[in-house]
Amino acid sequence: MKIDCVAFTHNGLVRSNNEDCILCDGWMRNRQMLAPARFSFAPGASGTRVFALADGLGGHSSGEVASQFALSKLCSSIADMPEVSEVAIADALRDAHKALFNVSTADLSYQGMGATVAGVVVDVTGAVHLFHVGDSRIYRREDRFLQLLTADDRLKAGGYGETDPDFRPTSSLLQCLGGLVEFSEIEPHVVRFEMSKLAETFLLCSDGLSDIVSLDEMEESFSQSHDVTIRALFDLARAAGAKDNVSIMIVEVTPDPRPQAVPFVSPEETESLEDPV
Amino acid sequence: MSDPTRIDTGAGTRLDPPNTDGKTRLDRPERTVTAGKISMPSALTSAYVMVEPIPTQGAEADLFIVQSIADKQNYVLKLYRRGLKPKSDVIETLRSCCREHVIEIVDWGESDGLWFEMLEYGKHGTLRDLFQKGPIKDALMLSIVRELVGAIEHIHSRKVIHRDLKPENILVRALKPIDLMLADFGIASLSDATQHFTTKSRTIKYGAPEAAAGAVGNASDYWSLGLIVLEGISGKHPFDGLSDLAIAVQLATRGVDVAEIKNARWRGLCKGLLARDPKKRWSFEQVSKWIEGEMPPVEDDDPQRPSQKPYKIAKRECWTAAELALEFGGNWSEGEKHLARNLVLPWIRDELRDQDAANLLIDLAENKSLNVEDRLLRIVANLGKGLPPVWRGLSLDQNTLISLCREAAGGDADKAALVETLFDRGVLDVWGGAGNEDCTQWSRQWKSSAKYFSSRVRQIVETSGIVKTLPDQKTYLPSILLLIISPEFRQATRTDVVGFAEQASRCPWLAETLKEESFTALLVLQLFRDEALTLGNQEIQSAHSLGSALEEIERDYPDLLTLDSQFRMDVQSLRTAISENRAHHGVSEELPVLQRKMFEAARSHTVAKSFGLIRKRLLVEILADGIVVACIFVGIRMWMGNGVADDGFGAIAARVSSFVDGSGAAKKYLFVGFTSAALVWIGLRSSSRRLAKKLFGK
Repeated sequence: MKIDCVAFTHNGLVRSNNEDCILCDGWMRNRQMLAPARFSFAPGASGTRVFALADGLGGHSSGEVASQFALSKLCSSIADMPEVSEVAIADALRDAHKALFNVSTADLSYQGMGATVAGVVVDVTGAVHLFHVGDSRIYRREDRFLQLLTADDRLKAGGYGETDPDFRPTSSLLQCLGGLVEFSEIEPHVVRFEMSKLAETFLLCSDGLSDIVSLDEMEESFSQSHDVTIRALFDLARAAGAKDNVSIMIVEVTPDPRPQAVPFVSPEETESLEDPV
Repeated sequence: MSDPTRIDTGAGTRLDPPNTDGKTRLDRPERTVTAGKISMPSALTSAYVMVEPIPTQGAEADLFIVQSIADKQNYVLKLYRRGLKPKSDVIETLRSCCREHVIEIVDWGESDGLWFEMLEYGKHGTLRDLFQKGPIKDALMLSIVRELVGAIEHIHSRKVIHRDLKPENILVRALKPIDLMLADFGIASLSDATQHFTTKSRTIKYGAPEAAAGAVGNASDYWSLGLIVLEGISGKHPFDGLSDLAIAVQLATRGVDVAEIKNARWRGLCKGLLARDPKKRWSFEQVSKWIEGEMPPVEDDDPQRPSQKPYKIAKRECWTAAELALEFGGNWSEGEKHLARNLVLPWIRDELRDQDAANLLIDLAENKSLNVEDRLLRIVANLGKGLPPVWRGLSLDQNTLISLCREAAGGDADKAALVETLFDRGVLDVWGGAGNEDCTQWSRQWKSSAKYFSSRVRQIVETSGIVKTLPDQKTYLPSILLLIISPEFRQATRTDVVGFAEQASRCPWLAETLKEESFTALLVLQLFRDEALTLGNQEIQSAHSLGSALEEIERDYPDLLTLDSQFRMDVQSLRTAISENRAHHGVSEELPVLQRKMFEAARSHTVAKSFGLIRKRLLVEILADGIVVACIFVGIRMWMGNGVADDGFGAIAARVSSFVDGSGAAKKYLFVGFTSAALVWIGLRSSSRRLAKKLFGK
């Protein structure tokens, strides 16, 4: 299982701080970057890898704390899992939620802080799990399109099908990690992604990108190099104002080529020379 | 596909044109009418007199009013065009039907190579004529419904589905009380199963929704009844002014709106009959109850629950899955985008709550072997059952396919690539799987014909030694599809191949391929046209040169032919072989051999025969030489005049001298005689020398 990951996070054009945070297999960053960071994991290296981003919420600078806290908590709990499963990841997310809530109640300045998360987990067996809570998104690139794999935990606004050009999503978040004054349980979205023999490319982004850049534009920015793609995506966000922090991460998972099974040679078909016309 | 047995002639069976009254026709039975070049079949002339033709637009049959000589009654003669034959099983079944409900087929058969039916004459015209007078009153309509439902039930009990019920096809036998009979079973079929798959054309305005997908059952006739009732009581047809496509779309998505009918009972009847789901549609049982005054329950028809919120695509709002399929079909690239972005599933699942459709979407998404376009195709085909098949915004009906394939076969690379994708992606199969019988059939034939084509080409290359590679399938797939869907193209291909096969070689592969009697085989031959023609030309060339060689021999050695009867026969048989060589296989290869053999034969014959000839000539020469020498000796002795008679020459000379003595003239004669003898001698010598030179000189 070969994994390539390119990640980028930025304050945007308006905010002075970055409440987003990105995580690539233990490497974590929330200060804005000048260029995307690249990671490559060759096949054979063992261990469960977590690629995720978080978008922190909360007054003062508590958002920053929340996103970092959530990711570091998730990173350690998922990486230490003896066996990765949907249930285990969901439990890890609930634990992170509870822990974040506990921290937020311990200090008044942290009150109500929370974080949305979206991530890709690749375990030792090569199984891929996707998770998200909140409105950070995971897209899968298919053909020349971007397929949204996550459903935002937001109040459903707008219609179905194509979105009006002037439609701007509301930000009434239904759930995230933490973010509560009174504790209630969350419903994390975790799904095992069935890999085919082909490589899969996932795009993870915070709402700083997906809320202001249309899907058409995002699809058009894709190029061979993930580095270039991320720069193009960020340029789009900048062109659209980039009022929020922007985090973009592309994870490409290439399955190991399976040992070539000896192709079954079917006995030569007896050619029928019958013509129906 | 056009069906040769279809005799639906639109208004053709309207026996009584609305604007003329019946009297004028009855008044002139003496007038024998022949419409155009068609006259009464000879088998009927003794029993019937032609009255007049009925104007028809149909291509399958001509209609005439005829009068029976025996009972002076009018009948309708339906005369099929040459080569067309009515379905005998349907006709025999109809003839066994009760005359009360079904038009009587008095007689039918074949005469002068044409099939005919002698039908009952409905002097009150058709239901159409009644409808044209405006909305029908309830009481009359009730009688009409009673008549029709009885007739439909009757033919169904005989396992006949009419499939083309419309006011034009319902004849009025009597007005008071109304007596109706069903006519024009041109596309009717015997239903051996409860449902009948068909590709036959029908009147789309009265056709049931399921018929668009090719599935016709008894219920389809009841749908038509529903539309006839609706038209009768409201005075207008709900689809008036709509195109066939618009009708198809409305049938597939919304059905027929009966809200305009004020009377609740009639509205109920129409709603029951016009249920889009054949299983929920009223049939004999419910309609009978309804006639009795009951009101059987009308099941909620629309299985496609309209959504609360519309799905938006290309600025249009879709409220049902069928509407969505229609929009996807028309906005193919938008559809791909929506599908790839996974925008459709939430709407189907959360708004439409159509579990089947949602499962279809999920299953397709999980099928990694399908790309976005493949998935879109399957979704459009399955959600839009009954819609005309589409692919990339292109309608896949027969005519569009024909023009697409023609352009592709004519060298349009884009179109050829499009046709290839149709083939490779199994587009027609998908529509076939969604219930379109045409597509299933075309696809099946297309696949096996393409396979046949390539294997046949390979076979010819292997057996004939012609160096040729199988062309790219782009080049032949359009033509193969054309063969399947276009009768004109089939005909044109046949004409073309027959045309060049005349000049082409009668080589084994050509003859064998022609023997296949398949249209695809003709396409294969078109591919080898150049090779066949070259071979054919070579053959003609060698036959020609052999012929001229023969001629040369005949010219040069005329005596050979006259002298030797065996050699004459050999030459004759060779001549025949040359003139007939085009009927023999492989003469092209044998010709040079034959030619060489013939030359050898000619030579050996000549040599053998010439020896005899030369012998004869030598004898003559020796004889001539002797005479000349003798004459010379005689002459010398005469000139010497010494009359010595001690040898033969002297005696002869003395005798001659005494015979001609003193005459100067005799001496002249003698001189001329000598000279001629000498000339003959020289001539013979040179001629035999020439012959010898000819024989041995080369």
